[in-house]
Amino acid sequence: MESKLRTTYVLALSLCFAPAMLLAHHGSALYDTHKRITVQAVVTDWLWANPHCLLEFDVKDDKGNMVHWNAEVSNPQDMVAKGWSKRMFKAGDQVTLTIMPAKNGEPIGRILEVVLNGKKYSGFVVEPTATGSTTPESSKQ
Amino acid sequence: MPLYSQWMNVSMSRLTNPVLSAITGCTLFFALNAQTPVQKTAAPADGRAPAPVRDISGTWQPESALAGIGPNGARDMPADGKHEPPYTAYGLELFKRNRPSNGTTEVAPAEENDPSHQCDPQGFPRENLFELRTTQIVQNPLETIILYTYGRIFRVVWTDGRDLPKDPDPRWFGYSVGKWKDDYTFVVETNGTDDRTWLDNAGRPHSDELRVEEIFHRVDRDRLAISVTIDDPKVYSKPWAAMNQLPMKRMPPTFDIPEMMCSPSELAEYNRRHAVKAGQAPAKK
Repeated sequence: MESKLRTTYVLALSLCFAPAMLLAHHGSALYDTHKRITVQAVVTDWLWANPHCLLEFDVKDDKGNMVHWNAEVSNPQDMVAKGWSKRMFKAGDQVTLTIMPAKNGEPIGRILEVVLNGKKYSGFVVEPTATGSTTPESSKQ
Repeated sequence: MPLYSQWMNVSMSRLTNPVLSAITGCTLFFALNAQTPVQKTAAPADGRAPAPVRDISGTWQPESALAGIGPNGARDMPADGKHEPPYTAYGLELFKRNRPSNGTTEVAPAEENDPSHQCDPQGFPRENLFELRTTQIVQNPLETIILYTYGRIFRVVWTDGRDLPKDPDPRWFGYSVGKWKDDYTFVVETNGTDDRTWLDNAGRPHSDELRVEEIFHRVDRDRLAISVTIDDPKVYSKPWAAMNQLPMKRMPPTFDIPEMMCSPSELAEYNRRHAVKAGQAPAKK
């Protein structure tokens, strides 16, 4: 599947970017914070809930098999502030997702950006570090 | 806006909650029977509207949207490898028992023991140090009531001259009393907090001897700065600043505070669908 996916490895330059502080109940240790995957996906479900909203979707791998993923964004309050809503997705929607994948290789991740009906929405909230540096989100391609 | 109008505003917006309705009802009663204070004001040199005297009421939000979140621990003592509270030996032992999901000692979801991740109340002072978002403050001569977004929690800070209880039964949010240090600085002392709670999202512990000092400084009409100091001689060798003058901005009185709850069923669904899978060991190939 990896070879089929357009995979972008983003190395956060240590001199430019301090470790990310992700707004989350669960920290970033589970995720490969330097890796980005962009996929074409078909939405199967959208869970609008605390602590984090979840998007379920299918992605075709390099053998033509459908792989089921889910990926999180932040809580509903934060996502409303970014223009998201409970009704923004429905099953069957085709979307382009930029994802920070889990380290363990499971089809799990965090959504950093979604393109839906030609409109971009920024995803998981990332905040500046105590040093004032930005985070890998701003370095994504 | 006259204070009673603000209180009326609050009581109307909170009527669906019987507890808060009772509180705001009392608030309104005392508001209408209290003498209107003489409105002296400070005159900021920067041209901003001056702060009202002895008044921190209103709806406040961190000036920077994420400044009150504290994902990796207390805002001014984050668990980032550069900051370390002054643990006693006992305090360090307690800290090592905690397995947080954030900070330098974070573990996978299946291994963590953060009590708030079972939707236990965060308790105090964690309510100030994690997910501090829009916060409404209501005052009357006897009490100052603080309404938090996260968990829709409220605290009562007594201003009727009482002392903190001696040897109190612990409560999630402890016991709080407040005094005006000067016309623009309200100081709150809290004790009797439940030592099952963590101080922050990084798993910093506390004991039953914890005392917390909060300072609410009304900078001008539209700005409030909040500081939180931890003093727990069993766990920390000296007091330390967990939050140092977090800047808050005043929101319009009609601002509708969003809802943010820990729902056990939603949390279980999130864990089942996502967190548990993300925390699994890599599959052997």
